Amino acid sequence: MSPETPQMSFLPFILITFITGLILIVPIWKIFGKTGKDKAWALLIFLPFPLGLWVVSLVLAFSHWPASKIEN
Amino acid sequence: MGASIWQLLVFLIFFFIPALASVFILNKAGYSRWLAILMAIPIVNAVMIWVFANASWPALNKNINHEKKRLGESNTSNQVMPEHQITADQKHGYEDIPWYRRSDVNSFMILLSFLTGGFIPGVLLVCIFVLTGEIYLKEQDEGGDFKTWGWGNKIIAAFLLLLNIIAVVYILK
Repeated sequence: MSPETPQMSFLPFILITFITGLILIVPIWKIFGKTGKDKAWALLIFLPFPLGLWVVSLVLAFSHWPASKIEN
Repeated sequence: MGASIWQLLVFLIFFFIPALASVFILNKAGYSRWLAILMAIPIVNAVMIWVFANASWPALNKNINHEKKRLGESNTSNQVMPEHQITADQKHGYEDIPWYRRSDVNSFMILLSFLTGGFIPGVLLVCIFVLTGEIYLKEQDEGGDFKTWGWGNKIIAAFLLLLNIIAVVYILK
């Protein structure tokens, strides 16, 4: 282990963001289409690493779905 | 070593928040809420999102009509009013509004967030609630509708979310 203070690099997080984004953009695009909302909401998955899936899942969970009869 | 305690915490929360949100998502789509447990398991959740996107959801309008025709019964008693049409007079009291659309709950979450020094991410949640719909107050206007939070709150919520994103980018840098 190196004696100097650990320096976190920005590159792995960009990589993680884009890998998870590329894996999940297609199904999340479809899910937003099925709920009747604008499919462009799915682009939020490309927010920085932890925030992308948080924001997308919270928007899906707490917004109004035009195509659904059940309103929670 | 790269893995410190806060990174482990970030990973725990990273799986915890989508799993919690998927309870509501699965409920709205008409599935069992217990499937949300699968969302907390790392590789399984990616598979589950793919399966969920390609499955047919029981709660969609067309599927409900199809089901009604198949069963030959009218299902009008189960019809729930869309969120933007909630009014005070049509037998819909304040307690019929979902908890995350109520002003007192949201105010309490902001207070809780401030009292714990931001440890409970209440402000972040309230920002998302405000931006995804209306927050209803207990007071009613002349038309009998519940009063809602104004546009200023939405602008502040968008600003705070932006600040959060900038903060996360800065921390990771």
